[in-house]
Amino acid sequence: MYVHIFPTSYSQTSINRLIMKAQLFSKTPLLKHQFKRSKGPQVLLKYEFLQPSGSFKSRGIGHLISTKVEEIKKSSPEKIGHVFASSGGNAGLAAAVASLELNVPCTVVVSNATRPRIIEKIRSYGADVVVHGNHWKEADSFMKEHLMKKLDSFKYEPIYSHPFDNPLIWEGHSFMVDEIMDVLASSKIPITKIKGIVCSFGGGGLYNGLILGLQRYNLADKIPIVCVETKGTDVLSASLRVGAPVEFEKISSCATSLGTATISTTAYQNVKRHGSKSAVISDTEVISTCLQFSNDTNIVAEPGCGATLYFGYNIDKLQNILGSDIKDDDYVILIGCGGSSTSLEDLKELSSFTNCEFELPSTGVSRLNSHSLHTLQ
Amino acid sequence: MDQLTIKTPLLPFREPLNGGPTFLLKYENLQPGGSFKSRGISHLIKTTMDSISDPENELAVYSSSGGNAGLAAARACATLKVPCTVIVPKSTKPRMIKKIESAGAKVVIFGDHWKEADTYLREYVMRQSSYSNTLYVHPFDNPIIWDGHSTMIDEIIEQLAESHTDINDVKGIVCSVGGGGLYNGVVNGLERHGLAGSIPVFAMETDGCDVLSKSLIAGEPVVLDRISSIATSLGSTEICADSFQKAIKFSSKSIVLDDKNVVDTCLRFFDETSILVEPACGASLHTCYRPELLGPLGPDDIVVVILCGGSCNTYDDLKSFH
Repeated sequence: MYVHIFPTSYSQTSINRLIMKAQLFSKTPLLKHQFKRSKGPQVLLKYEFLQPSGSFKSRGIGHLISTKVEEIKKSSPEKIGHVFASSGGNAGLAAAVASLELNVPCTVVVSNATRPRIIEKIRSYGADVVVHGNHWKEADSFMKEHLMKKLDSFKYEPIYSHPFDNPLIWEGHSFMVDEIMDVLASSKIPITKIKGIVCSFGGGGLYNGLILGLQRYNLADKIPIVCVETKGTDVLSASLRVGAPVEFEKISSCATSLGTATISTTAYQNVKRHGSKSAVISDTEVISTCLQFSNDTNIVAEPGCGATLYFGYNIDKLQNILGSDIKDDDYVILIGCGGSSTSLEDLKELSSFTNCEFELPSTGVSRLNSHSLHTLQ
Repeated sequence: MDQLTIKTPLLPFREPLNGGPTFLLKYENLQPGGSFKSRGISHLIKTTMDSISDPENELAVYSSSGGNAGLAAARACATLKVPCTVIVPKSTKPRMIKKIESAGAKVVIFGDHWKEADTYLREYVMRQSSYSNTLYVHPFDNPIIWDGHSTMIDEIIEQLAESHTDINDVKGIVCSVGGGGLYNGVVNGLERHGLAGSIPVFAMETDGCDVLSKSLIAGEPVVLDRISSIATSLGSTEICADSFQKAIKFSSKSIVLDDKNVVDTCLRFFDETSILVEPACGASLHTCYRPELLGPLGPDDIVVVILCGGSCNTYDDLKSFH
């Protein structure tokens, strides 16, 4: 287990100072969004789309890298940090953007399943991209065993950036809760009116960050979090069913950013401890949400983010999950986590594949292959 | 009641491996109507509503824009619970009609171009109105609209102060110019803060919609015979007299880009951020990729770019032009 040491509360000034120190992440707006809602609670959307790397990952990964760079400056001033990230997705992109901002070298190792578009994007931020292995685990071990060990240790100090499983990453993500609290206070919205927070769940990094942030305000047991996964990436949901964290052998969903074989153990424990809710939606539902949202806002959300946005368009289903008596002057918060793994062309292609334009939102019809799962040791 | 406008974020634009000035983007695309137009147009409608003392005298709003102004009017009216009618010419894109309708406005298609739709609206539709108070919303030419737009400058100044940025480091504000409504709002806002003489405004147009640039060259406001540019939202044949005078008084810099440049910019920005803006907005955004257009600027300098937004073009439109 990890031991967390945190200041009791991050004041707004200290957050501003963090932003000023290096523009590793942005303070994003929390705005009321209409969706197609005619009744039900007000929906506030946190615009993590606007982070420097296009997703919330800039917060946690930026925080991890900058903290490590500062540590190296103190402990071994003769060395410079060299960032190693094993992610062909938003975490790799966030690592590249943060490394560029902090002026440290960055190597991103991606599996050969990674789209050329993403590789090009990561490279455009000055990072070195190495393609190795068939999936994340192979890319990650290659990076740790070969690249990191071969680093010139007189000159460089390696900084390992996991896509989500690191308390420093969660701490970075947790700052978004401080921003939310700040906006609620300045808009005079009482905390008691907040009936839930909805976030997408891949490995559990974002979720852990939210819990950590809420804990600082003693709200982790008061505001329920709804963790959304897609059919085929629903490791949390499967783990809760089995009663222990499980591992997926294969991921089958268009929401590739949510596709991790395992989830953070801390996340699993947090879900149990704080009674967070789990929701699983189909690929069809998520793709039509993404297309609808892009038509409404001119912002393309990838399926990993669309999973959360789905509940903005289906507020009645969210009310069913939350189960409490929610009034029209209550609020729910959706974390628009962002992400650039899927282009508009990809979405359109996926939509023709799943015929989602012609299907009504369904509750559990999946066109995907069944997945196998086994309990972790 | 839902908000008519939002305080939009002011965030650094990030261009990989670029040693130029810092560009700060003002995200007006996040306004309820998808563009900065929500500011001025909702302000006009709200001001008019508030001026009606007798609650029996109900107000109805009329617009002749099948573009962002019409959408902004429809959204503002839905929030204020005021009936809204938008007359659009036949050339209006079905997608925009659907957007305006789904915001709750009544859309009537009339005429071959804006002037015909506008005349029909004013000469016929508004005169037939059963409402005792009718408000005509021009897409841009109204000082109350400019007042509404100018609030974005108050926000920018507040946001710079919040992030401890010295206003003297701001070396320019970049905005797109169609008829001059946004430009007037920006300059009015700067004047209110005593900054109109010290912070230059860069007025961006596209080739074929360059009525301000042509007027400045001619030394007097000119009227274009025709509009030819993909940036249809900038397509005004005339420039407000006020904009022309302010541009001379404050020596604003007029820059004209060709269509290809702005379309490339929109596609590139979309690829980098997943945010789609229309070419009218791409004209301003283009300076982030080519800071040299703004003259000599160093890494300590700051330029604010108004990301004015707009929903008139789809990704497929841009791609097919490209």
